[in-house]
Amino acid sequence: MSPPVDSESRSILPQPRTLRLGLLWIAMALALGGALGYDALASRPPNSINQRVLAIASEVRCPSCLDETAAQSTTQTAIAVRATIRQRLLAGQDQEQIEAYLESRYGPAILLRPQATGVSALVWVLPVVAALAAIAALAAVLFNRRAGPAVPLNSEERELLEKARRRWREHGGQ
Amino acid sequence: MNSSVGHVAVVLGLVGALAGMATLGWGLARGDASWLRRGQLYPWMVFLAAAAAAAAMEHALISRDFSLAYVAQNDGLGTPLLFRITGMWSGLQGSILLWTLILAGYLAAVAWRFRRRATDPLVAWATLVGLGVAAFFFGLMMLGSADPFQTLAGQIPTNGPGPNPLLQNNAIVAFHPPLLYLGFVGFTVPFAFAMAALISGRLGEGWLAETRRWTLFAWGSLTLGLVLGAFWSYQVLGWGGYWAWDPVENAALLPWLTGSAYLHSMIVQERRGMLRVWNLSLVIATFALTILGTFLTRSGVLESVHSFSTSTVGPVILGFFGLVTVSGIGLIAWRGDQLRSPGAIDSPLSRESAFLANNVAFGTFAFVVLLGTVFPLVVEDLNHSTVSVGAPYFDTMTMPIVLVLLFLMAVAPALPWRKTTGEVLLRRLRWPAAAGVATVVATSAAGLHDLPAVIAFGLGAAVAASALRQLWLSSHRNGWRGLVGRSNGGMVVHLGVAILAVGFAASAAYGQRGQLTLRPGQAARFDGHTIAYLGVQTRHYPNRSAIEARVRLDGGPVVYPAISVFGFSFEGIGTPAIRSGATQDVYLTLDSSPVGREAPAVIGVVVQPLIVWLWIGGGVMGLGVALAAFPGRRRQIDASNSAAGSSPVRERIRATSGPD
Repeated sequence: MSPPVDSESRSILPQPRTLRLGLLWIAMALALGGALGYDALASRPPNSINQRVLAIASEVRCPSCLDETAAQSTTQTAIAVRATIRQRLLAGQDQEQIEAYLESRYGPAILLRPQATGVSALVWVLPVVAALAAIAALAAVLFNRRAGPAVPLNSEERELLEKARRRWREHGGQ
Repeated sequence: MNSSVGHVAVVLGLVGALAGMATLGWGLARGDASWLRRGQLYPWMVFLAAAAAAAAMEHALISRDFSLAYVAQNDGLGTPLLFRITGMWSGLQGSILLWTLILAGYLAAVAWRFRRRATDPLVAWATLVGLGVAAFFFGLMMLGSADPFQTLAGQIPTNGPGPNPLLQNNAIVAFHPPLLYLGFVGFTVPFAFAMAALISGRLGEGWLAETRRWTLFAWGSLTLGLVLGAFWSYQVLGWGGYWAWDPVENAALLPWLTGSAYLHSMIVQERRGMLRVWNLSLVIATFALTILGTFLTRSGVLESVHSFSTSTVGPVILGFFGLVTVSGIGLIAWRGDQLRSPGAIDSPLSRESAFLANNVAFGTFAFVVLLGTVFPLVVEDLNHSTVSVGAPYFDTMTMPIVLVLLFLMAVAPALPWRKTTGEVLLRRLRWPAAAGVATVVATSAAGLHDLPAVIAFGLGAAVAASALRQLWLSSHRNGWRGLVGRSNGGMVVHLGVAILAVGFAASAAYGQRGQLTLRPGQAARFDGHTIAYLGVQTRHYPNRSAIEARVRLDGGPVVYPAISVFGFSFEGIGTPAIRSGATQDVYLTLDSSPVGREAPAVIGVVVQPLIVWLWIGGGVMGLGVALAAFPGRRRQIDASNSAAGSSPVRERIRATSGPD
């Protein structure tokens, strides 16, 4: 379909099909970058006090529940935690101060996000280390592609191979 | 009566399992075919024993035989029939019985499927390993610390509390646990064959191809069980969410993650003979994780909605987990030199590299979930301090992994085996990429600026387009047969994952929740909806009484969010009223019941977009698994090949030459 090209121009210029493909991908990359950049920079309406309370409460365990956050639970203790967060937000405290207060009041287990200091830091660091190790191993496999040592055939396999070779020869090597 | 029948059945199950192991072991040691053939009868004996035990338990539950401790704890006079039947899996001991029943069913199915190959050492060893697992459940669990047929000492009560209120609130409880167990226990079959391959030295692709559909069935059941569990959580628990990173959810997710990794990496071994050690490790890890999950959730070391009670089963299960892990690692090390793979990766731009990357992502995912789940235990034990690892941790850590997986799902289907050029790839991916970019541009133009969510939408669209492209190409070539078989069914599963991922991202990023305090007749607006509280009413059902709020949503029909009290329990259980739509769910709960007729009620409102997509995505995944299990292209099945005594070499050749 593509117009005939002489060998000289082929060696210098990409074929029109390839060129169109390249331009399409460049256009898509630009559109994607533009949209994501716009998303990142777009001004968002300030969060309402309700949203700010819930954002903090979703990091906090409901004191009387097993697995629910203080944002999700409908128990009295969770409502009390949300009320505390709202009060302190209105009093001008930030998330860190409020979490510090809740921790002093209910103990460290109240915070559902383990801290990045002390022993709890391990829970953050170990997966990153494991992931990096796995990626390094993957890269080693992908980019160091020397074939492994030839595995010697056992007698049964050799016999099978011989049989296949014989059959091949019998059929005139075709 | 029920107790004696049950005890006899359990003892017979144990005897059957042990006798079967001894018979098969003797036959294998002697190379005696008649013993091996006889050994294949024992799975049936084990199955009949487990069925008799389960029947005795159901009979006790349905006839309310309160002389059994388990029935007295999990049944009541007011409990409706359905929840008396499901009572078998409402407590620890009954769950172990259900587990054993399903395991015995799988063993019998394996015996039936491989009945013509009873003398094949691979089948004999696999049966022996399976019977060993059954012996553990019969002997150490049901005759040990998790005895479902224990009788009560002293006076027999005349009534019981019924199942946990949460387990008698919705009929889904009849399906969610059995499906989940079908998945968990189903991984015993590939595990048994993997161990058999290691022990017998038949380390080719035979064991893996032989158990492909069994693995797929287990994985599909586990997938549906997990989605149904999320659905149950959403419909019943009243918090408006569907996934809480609860330890029990994590315990069920772990084998799903490693199982998903295995379903992909096994293809590399079948096609290229590579990753033998890795696949064996994944299968053994998947099975071990089902046991570890049982330990974490049934021993009382972790508290959660799902764990029933503190009991002494912990050390026994942990010991079994240790045995499985150590023997698995030991066998792999022992066979190490025979497991060296003949193939190598030709190019990073190939299907097999994409599968490897997939395994790295799934492996990291599983590591994060496992670490986060056990970390509080370890810290408490070693450091004597308490720490919580909750949803914020798991959300933060898994989000990038999920995005990587979605990216791989968008790209990998277009990658050929061995190697390709960048240009071919860019050409094949232009439509999926265009779908993704168009989605990102459209969502940001529509004013949705949450970056992770927008990226997830774009990748979801690309995954769907990539899967549809494959399905289109393949059905173009092969007609309806282009929609069945492993790779095409797999693409339908990918489509389901894309739908589910979009639903997940949308509901997590754009959900709104709040509480409204309203007097009767009062109305309020929340996130574009009008919620009018009309009044309250009390209703009585056989097993519960409910305080129901009458609420008119957006001027439509009246809905009834309620608080129910079951049996002897004093604690109220919320029953939400949900209006589901294709684009948005409105979820109403009665958060505190009004003290009087005119008093204000607190109505909880959760508005989340695209919740229905989760359930649709789950359904599409289930459909995809069914299509993948269906034979793709007709294969020539040579009867002499599948008959007894097929040599390992022939088997290996058969497995690698089969088109797929």
